Amino acid sequence: MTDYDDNILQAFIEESQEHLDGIENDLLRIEAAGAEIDDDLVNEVFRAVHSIKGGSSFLGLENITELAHGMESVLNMVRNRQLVLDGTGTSVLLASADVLAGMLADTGSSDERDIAAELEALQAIPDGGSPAAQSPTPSPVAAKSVATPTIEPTPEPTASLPVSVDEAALDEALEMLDYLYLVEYGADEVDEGVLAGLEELGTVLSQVAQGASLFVLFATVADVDVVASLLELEEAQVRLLEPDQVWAASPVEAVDTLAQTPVLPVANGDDLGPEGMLAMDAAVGPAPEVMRFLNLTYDLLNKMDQAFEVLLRKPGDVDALANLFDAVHRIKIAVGEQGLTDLDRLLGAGEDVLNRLRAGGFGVEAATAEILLDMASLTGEVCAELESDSLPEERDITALVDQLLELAPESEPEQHRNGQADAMPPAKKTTVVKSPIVETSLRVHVRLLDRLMNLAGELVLTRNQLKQVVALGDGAAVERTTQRLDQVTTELQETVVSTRMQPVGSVFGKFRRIVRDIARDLNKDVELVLEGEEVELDKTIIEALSDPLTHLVRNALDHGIETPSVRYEQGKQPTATLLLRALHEAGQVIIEITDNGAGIDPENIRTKALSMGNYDTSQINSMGDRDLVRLIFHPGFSTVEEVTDISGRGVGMDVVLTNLTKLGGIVDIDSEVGRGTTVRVKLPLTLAIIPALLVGMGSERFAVPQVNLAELVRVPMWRREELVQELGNAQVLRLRGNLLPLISLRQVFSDEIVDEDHSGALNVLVLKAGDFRYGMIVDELLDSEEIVVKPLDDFLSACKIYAGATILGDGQVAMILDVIGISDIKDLEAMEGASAGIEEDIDDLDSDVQELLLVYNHPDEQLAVPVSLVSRIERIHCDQIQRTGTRASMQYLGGHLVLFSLEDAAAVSPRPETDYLYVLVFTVADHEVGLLVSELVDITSQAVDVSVEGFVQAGIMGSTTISGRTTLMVDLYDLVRRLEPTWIEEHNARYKAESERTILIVEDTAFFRNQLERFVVEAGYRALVVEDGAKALAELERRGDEIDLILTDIEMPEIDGLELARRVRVEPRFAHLPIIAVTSLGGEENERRGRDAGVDEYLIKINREQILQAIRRRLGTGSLAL
Amino acid sequence: MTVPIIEAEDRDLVLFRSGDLLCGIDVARVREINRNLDITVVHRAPDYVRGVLNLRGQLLTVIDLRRKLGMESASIDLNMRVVVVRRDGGEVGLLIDQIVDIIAADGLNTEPPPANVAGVGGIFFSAVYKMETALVAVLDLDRVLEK
Repeated sequence: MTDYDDNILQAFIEESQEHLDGIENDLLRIEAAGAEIDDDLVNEVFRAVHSIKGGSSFLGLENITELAHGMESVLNMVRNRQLVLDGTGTSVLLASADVLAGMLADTGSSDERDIAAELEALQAIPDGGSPAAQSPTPSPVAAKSVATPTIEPTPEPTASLPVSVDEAALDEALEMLDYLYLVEYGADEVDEGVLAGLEELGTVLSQVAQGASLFVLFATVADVDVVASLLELEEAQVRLLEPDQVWAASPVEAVDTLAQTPVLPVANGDDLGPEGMLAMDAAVGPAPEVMRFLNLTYDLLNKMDQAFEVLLRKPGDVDALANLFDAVHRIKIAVGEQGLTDLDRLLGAGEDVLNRLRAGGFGVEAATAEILLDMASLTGEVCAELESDSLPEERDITALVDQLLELAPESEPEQHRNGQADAMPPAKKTTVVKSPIVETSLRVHVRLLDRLMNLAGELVLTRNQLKQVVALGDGAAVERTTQRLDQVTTELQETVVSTRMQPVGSVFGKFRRIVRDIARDLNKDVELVLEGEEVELDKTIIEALSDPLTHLVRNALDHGIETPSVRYEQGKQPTATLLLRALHEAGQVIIEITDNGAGIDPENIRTKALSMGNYDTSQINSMGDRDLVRLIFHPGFSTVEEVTDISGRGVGMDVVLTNLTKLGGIVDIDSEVGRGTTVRVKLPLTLAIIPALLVGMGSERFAVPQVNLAELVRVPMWRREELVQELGNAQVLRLRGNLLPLISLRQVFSDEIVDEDHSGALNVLVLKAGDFRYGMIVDELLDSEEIVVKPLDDFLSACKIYAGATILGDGQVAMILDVIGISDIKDLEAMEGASAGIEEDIDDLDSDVQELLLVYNHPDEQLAVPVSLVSRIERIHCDQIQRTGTRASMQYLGGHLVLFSLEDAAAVSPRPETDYLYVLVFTVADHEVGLLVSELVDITSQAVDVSVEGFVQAGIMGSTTISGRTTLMVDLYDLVRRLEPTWIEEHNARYKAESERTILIVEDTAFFRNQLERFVVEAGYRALVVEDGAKALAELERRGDEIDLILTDIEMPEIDGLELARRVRVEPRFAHLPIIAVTSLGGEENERRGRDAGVDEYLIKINREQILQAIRRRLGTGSLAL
Repeated sequence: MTVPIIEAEDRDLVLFRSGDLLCGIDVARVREINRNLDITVVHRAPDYVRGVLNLRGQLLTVIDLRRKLGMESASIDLNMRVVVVRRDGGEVGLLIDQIVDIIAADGLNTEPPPANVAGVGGIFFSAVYKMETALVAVLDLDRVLEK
């Protein structure tokens, strides 16, 4: 098999599959239209089937050709308005299309499939019945003689066609020409020109005058569409025939009797049943079919002889070898049809030998030729015996078969490499094809390719420019060119990504069929509505989406939608609606599956959950309706079969969820009893570039997809015992009253028990694997980045714990962790079940939380302000605001309070005009200020210290996710600095003179470290910054004399703030140093612990004013300036 | 099963050392020889996988040839190279100890591997090429790259 063939085959398969996709929907529409035939639509389907037929016949895929041909005939009748497709007809066509698809998926063995039943069903469509249903095992022979009134008006019953033809002539004609027509000329139409006209168009095979009419059988390449007009005849005068019909009409009387004989003589006679014997006895002379077989075989044996002649002179002749192979192959098929099993086996062996010689580019050696010639003569002998109407003699062919089997080309004494082997044309009709891998290619619009080409050109151009300007050392030009490079690269990336984009309609489309079929089976009446089919998604996502969506649709039909009678009783429309919708939302694609069926009753789920006994009763009882409904995604839940009886959509929903999660999808379900259910799936546009969090383990780095990340939790050392518990060999984490399986990244990589560092704080990633969560301990939290996902090859994909790899900015490779794979391999879900037995501690406090005031400026954006900074909150009427120039203020406690709006400094959506609004009062640089916001949302406790990433901009210190919403953290200090810079300058100037002091900042979280450093430096101090207690001690050791004050975090790995304070206090050199602890842990108890350890001031994070006041107090600088 | 016959053809071999073995690979299968040894370890990968490498933006799996041939793995030193070879469906790197030479090996001096190298790793050799001073074990790459 050459690459050339493979490529053609591949293209054919892809194209055909596309055709088939279209066919399905079109057929359903044709059915729906009934007698109102939409010509365009029918033509489209016809053309699709026709081109499949054309391609497959070119590639020698006989079964596919035959089946496509059968479908084509039916469609042709529809097109000619001789047939209206009803449900049954459509079903047969659909089933045939399915079989076609099946054969296309495995072209290699397509010819082995038995398609007799489908062909028969197709032929029976015009009769309005499905014979496949009536006679489940139709004999293929019998099928041939079924009368086929293909086209109306039928002049005569098929069985007695007016013409007859020599089969050799017919074979020959149809080898070149596609269509066989019977043309009927009325008496007045017959003249000399008639036959000449026909000969121009094709080959006249036979003509018979019957009554006043002249019937001409002729073959041509002209399509059914055009033949009548080419011949200037009415369509009714031209009738498309199958070769079969001509055979069936053949005048020999014995045909029918014989044709029904299931088997013909076989070489050894063993397989010959009694009926076969009888039938043979009854026959006089060889049956016409046998005659046809003999003629064909003799013909082919001649061909073989010719080929042998050539090969004996030139053993390496490629064409002769191909001819030989072709002939043997065709004899073998004919022999097989005659039931001559032994001969079949012999020829099969010969065919194998030839095929291997061909494939290997070997020649045919004399010895090989001898054996092959023996095979040919034996075949000839059997044929002669059949012709003389006797049963073939029994022969022992074993020796010959063995000889053939030994002719493996590898063991040939001499080999002839043939340089032309690769250029050898594929033998027509006999191509043996292996199944190609279909997914490896993608059809891309030429427009896109052109664009890519242009961009690539531009990239080269820009690179050359860059080289040039770098050589010239022109800094400004380098910058310009780099910008250009950046632009081109971005554009190139976007375009490449867009080549992978496909409309979601390609998945949606197939649901027309699925919904129709399932609704029929379930006796439900469902209308499917598709919306947003044009929305595009990455090809990989589209492909992987099919199964989960099918599952959801099936569930909706099976359990959601009621039968028409039930719906009627409930006063609903008997026809239910299933809406499949795709839409864009905030850079993601949402797919919704909505039905207006029965909905899911949360009470039923509750009952079920309680009866299963897998869940904690109090937990279930305290669950809200939404949470209860979500339980259907729980793996334990879905294994219970009866759940479907309730209306729950249990079976396999956990698999759906897992599969969608793997795609980066988020699944939500919304259900109302009696009204219906909506499942929403939120998907990323592409999987090629994803946001991820980089984490560290020792010197190694790994990426965790953000979509799998629920939250980041820090467990300080002194709370480890309380929050992390051992459960046998496993660990669990207490998180707000829940117990999560906990595993360390090190443990993921090893089956041994890893000896881990048992001191210091823990960084825990709370990961989502479908509906199930677990915690993972990592050494370090690094950046949050958009990473390009590179797939793994087969050596690595077997590891199961990686979703891919990415190349980081420094060129290093980082593996992307597969959150679901890890949970599978470590069996974490089992742990979750086990941990459910532990007594819950509901009033558990999170470890590292900050109290935040959530507000809206504009209702689309959630903002957060640390509660500790806000001294008062006032609700005012908008009339109370006084404006002088650009400034706003209000009367407040007997004075004026300056009012700021967030949008004055920060890039946030402006506050809408409202009658009432809120003022958050706070103090910066000794000035009391009010911040206007439109709405107060909530006060929440949130672990902000680690999840703040990106978004740093004027007035905003970062963003975090709070109750599922992106929330901007307002930086009040920065806001004031931008709006009233003079306040800050004056304030700093007041303290600066005396503040040539150095402060050692010890803080492990990058975000706070930066904040503290900024506070301190802006206030005029020098800052030394270190990440942890150990480094702080080292720094003190090195330059202790310069340091005037220590500002430290409490929760840090290894040596924490308290330990640091203790160690500093015992060292006489530093015992005097003021220590200020900055923490998110409030409360008297914590403060007491701090003081016991030697901390002078105990402060809450982010309160800049407090921190600076404390520093001034401790260094004695504040009092001087005031 | 018949004994594979070594094609008595001349071919170019890349010669290199892996442990105490002198090995050869048909040049036709080699895409490049890379000195980038910044290999990222992949935990839970098969033991003969040394890790992955960034080959100009492309991800390359690197096989530790020593391990594959049944020897102890060695720590990275500067003589080591990654030989990037072609295979079905992409490319793979082979971590080898040292590049020795590229030679034209004539078919007459190529022989099937003697029975006594059939021990550890012996199945990975397709032939032995006799040089004047040494024997080269010609690698059967398809065997080596089997999982």
